[in-house]
Amino acid sequence: MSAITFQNLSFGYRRHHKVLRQLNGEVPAQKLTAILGPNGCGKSTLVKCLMRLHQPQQGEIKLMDRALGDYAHKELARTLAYVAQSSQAIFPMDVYSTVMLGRKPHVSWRPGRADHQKVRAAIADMGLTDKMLTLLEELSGGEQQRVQVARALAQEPAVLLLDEPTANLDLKYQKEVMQLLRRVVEQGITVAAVLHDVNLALRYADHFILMKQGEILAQGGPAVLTEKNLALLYETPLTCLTKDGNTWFQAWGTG
Amino acid sequence: MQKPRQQKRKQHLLLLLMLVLLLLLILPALALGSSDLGLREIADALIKGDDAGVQQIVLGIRLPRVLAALMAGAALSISGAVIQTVIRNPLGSPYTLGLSAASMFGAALAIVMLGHWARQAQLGMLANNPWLISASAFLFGLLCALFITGIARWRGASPETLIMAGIIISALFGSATSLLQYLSDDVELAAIVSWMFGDLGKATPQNVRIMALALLPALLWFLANTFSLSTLHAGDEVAASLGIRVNRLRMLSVVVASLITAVTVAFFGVIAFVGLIIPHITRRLLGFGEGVVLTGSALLGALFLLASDLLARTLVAPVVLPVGIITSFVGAPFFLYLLFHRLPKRP
Repeated sequence: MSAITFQNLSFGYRRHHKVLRQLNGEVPAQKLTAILGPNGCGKSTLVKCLMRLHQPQQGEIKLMDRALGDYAHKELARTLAYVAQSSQAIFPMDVYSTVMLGRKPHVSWRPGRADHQKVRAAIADMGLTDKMLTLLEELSGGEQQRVQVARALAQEPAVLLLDEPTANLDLKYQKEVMQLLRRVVEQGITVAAVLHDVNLALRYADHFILMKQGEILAQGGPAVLTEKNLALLYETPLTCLTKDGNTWFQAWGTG
Repeated sequence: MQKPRQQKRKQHLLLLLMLVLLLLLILPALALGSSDLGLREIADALIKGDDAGVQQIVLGIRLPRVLAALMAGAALSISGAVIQTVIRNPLGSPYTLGLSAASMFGAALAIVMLGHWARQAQLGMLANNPWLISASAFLFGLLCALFITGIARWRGASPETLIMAGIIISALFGSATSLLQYLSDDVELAAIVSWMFGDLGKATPQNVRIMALALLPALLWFLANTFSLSTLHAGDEVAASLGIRVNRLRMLSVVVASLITAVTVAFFGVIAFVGLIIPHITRRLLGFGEGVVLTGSALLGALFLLASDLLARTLVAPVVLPVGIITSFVGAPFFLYLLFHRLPKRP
């Protein structure tokens, strides 16, 4: 079953320059989908179209078998949550206030007792209870991403879209964020994330969408991550290595 | 937004302290002036109405001035706080958006052009008429707000677009006002300069009532939208993903904030720095949460302007200084201090 499907999806920031060209694809339900591709191939643009932050010029997007355009603003926000590539607040905010923003789609004026309980639960779920009143800027990169995921989970969505959640993080925090996303999937939430690291995607994702120059090169399970596909995708030869049952790709030393 | 209990209690205590200080400052503000009045005389005038002369001084002059200080301070501070949030810029204020310059031009235009026309048409009562000057300042302030929001909508309402539009408008109206000053005679020049200093001495029961009519609905609208406004702190894309119609919220907020500022400028002239520094001080004192920041800004802005006006009336008594001079002298160095110590402290 698919959480999101898109057909003939085209989008461009300028009329005659299409960033996305006639895309057809799906984000399977309750799985972790990695959207991979070189810089500027349209990964983030695809996520923004799926979030309805951009209006496609052509094609159809369906969320839970309903046209995306049929969702009211609040209804969409209760179904689909988004973690942006960078979310820099102008005025410092603490963890609690940030996560509370996630309750907005469920609240018309001010949050009630139940909203506060859900915020506390989301913070606890991300292991941030002792940092509830800490300013975001005082947290590590990994912790900041956890806060953004907690904010998105406080929305109680069925689908979570993330734009480069591991960007600017060191190896430890990249691993931490991906483990966190796996836990989110285990809670029954569909996750799709734009990623740059093929090996990180291979280790944690279930489904892959490979994008190049605004088109989908290949999509499916781990089987689509082949030396041939990845060499085509990144325009550099990659070698697939296997040791102790683990597989990874290496771009160095292959010419 | 409700916060964990301890932090919330601290915020409420600070808000209460501001309110108490404000109430305490109202009494000397009513008592001080060219006629020395005791607190008992003021109370009698307000409650019993025994002495018509004292009642006239208190109800006709001093109370409108105090109420004008409270409302103008609250209006400018709320405008500043909201604009800083919606354009995601700590330097945002009605002044940064060019509203002040536009209103100032409106006042200068009314003083010079209407003055000329009235004298030629033998309608002396229209020359230097404060109502016409106020209406013109208000009209240009409103036009500026509509122009800014129109540009913002056309260009996608980005914070950078709004600030750039504000800079261009300020430069344009500043030049136009300079041209009017250059063309005006000595009397008109004096009138323009007088308007450029914010002065609460222009407060009357009537313009205080009009201000209240503009300020109260605006305040209620902002308080009803505090949670939506808070989401803008996370950025436009995240706010939109939370179900907020970002452009619409930004446009409405800028128009409402600009309108209450235009009303203030129209009646009392340009009172600088209040809209810029008070929201910063409030955030340093109270922390975050738009509801707390807006309420705190309103209280602190009222307190600041009332204290500044008290200082303006007593510093070189019996001469009464325009309050705009005091706010500039206090505000400019404080704003510099804020620039160098940007990191807000926890409550």
